[in-house]
Amino acid sequence: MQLSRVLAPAAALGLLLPSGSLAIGESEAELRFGLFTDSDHVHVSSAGGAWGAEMDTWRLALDWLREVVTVPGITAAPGSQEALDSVSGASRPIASDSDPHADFSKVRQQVSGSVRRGTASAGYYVSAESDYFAQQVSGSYEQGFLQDNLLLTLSGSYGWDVIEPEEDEDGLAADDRKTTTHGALVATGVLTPVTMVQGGLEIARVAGLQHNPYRNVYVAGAYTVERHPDDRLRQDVFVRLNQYLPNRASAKVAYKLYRDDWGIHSHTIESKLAQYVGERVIVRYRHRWYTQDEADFWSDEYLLAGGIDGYRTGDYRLENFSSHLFGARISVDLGRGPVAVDWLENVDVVAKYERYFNSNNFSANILETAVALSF
Amino acid sequence: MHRPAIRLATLLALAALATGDAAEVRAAGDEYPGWAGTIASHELRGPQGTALRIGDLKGDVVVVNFWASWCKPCRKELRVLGDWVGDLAGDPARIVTVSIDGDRRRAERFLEDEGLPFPLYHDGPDGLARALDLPSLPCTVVLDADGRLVRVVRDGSAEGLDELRGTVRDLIADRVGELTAADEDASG
Amino acid sequence: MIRAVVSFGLAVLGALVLLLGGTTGCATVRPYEKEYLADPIMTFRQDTEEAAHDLHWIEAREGSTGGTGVSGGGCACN
Repeated sequence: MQLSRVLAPAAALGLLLPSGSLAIGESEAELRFGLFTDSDHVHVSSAGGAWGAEMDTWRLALDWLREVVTVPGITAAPGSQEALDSVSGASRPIASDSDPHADFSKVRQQVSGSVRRGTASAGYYVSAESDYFAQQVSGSYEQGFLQDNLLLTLSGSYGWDVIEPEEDEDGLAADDRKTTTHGALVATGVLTPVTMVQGGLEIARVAGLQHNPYRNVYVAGAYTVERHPDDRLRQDVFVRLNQYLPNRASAKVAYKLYRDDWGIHSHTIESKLAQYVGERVIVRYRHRWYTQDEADFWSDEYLLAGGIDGYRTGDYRLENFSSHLFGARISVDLGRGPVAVDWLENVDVVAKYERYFNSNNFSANILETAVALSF
Repeated sequence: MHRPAIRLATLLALAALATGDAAEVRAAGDEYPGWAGTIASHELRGPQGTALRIGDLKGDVVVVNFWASWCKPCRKELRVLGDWVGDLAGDPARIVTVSIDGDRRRAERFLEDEGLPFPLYHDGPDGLARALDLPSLPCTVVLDADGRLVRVVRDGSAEGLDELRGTVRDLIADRVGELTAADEDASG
Repeated sequence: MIRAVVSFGLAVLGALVLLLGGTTGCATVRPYEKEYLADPIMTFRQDTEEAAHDLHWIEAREGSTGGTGVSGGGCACN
């Protein structure tokens, strides 16, 4: 799908901008670069940026991202599940007649923007790939209570995706659509001068195509196209606690409970520890533990032609597993310290490395760098 | 026009303003009881070990702005107040900005980075801010030339700042009028 | 079943709001005491932004979603 389909709606964001001349207040910009590699030798390189500015009573934010997913070439039998994994889940057409050693490469581009005025905000998101075009509109409203020690935020979004699969070994799958309606209620509270807590409830209804149109599943001795339900209701509840510690450090703990009507239940526990080192450096450690059980229609082996209740899947995301993520992040304020450079006084440089692995023998390395500027 | 007529007109104008002003002063004083006295008697530490008591500034209209480097609306308001300093040159008015940052160096660094024309009066969160139990941040207090509390502006919004500016202008006009009348009495 | 789940979630959130309201009402933190809460290592903003960036690769690997209060937007990955 063409870049113009990304840029045209993104340009329409300009319609959201208030007209007339506006004084620009505090602004910030960021450039990000990322590299993801996993145990299947899939690479994803990404480049992106963000810009935010205050204009009188308005706040405008823009974000963009370009990802290139490279899946290494393999010899894949028709309908096999190999070479489909990638960090972006880039659905790869399997064509065993073509050069099996050729790498498969896919580009995704994403632009999002939002405007905020007072307690309300609105946003737009668009993402384009060769076979997938997604758009989303969102809005939120927040209200403070108890002298802003309690903040309630109500948000919602509606996304609509167009899927146009490319031709593969099995032929050309039909175009399809998917919609996602999401709502959230989040409460953020100040407990003490050094403690904050946040809790939220989210509900999302997904309707439309929700299986991989390129993936086949081995069922009752033959390969057949994967099939998932057309509807999915997803809910989660989360709690986060941030605590400021002596010696300019902070500890954060978060828990999320998730369930959906496909039968998946999951728990996520995440912890972060941040520490100032001197005036200009912040070091942050992170650990995330995740566990989920399997979908009702998941099976390692489908014996009946109809699968389970008419559904069959080869999607690794629907089986039971647990995972760990460990990582560290360092940010440096270039304008501070004994060798501060004046013209870099509002520039921060960030580097992050994380290691992910799960009980399905999958592992990944995530490396990100960013330069952030405020002006 | 004859001098006695000018004097009478000035007195009548001052009386008209004073009636409205008196109501405003009473309202602010009732809403924030004891603030004027607490502010007047509190000693602020300034640059190079100097000290300032707001009470010693009687005779001028005084704007006391409470701010912190970590408070975004405060930073925005400070920049606006910084622009006013030039406008008020020569007028019987003072802007005193009081930092409630926990760390004095952060406040110093912010004023320096922004090039703001204010001397640093650092009082921390446990000084005047706690004594007054500031209801918001930023918070700007306006005292008339007699040290009475006239207005408290509790946000850094454009409307709040316009209101503040209007009040300060009116008070300066009052004070200039008083000084003019006093000069005329002295010379007459 | 959906109604039961939604009711449960709302009950949890309602309890949280009451707890927050109750505790914050007992000892309200004053505006001039919030310096540490505004520190970049304390705010929720950075966590929400990081979670938004992570969302796509995590949703390509795991069966759940959410945990940030915002929806990340569609792609072939999810």
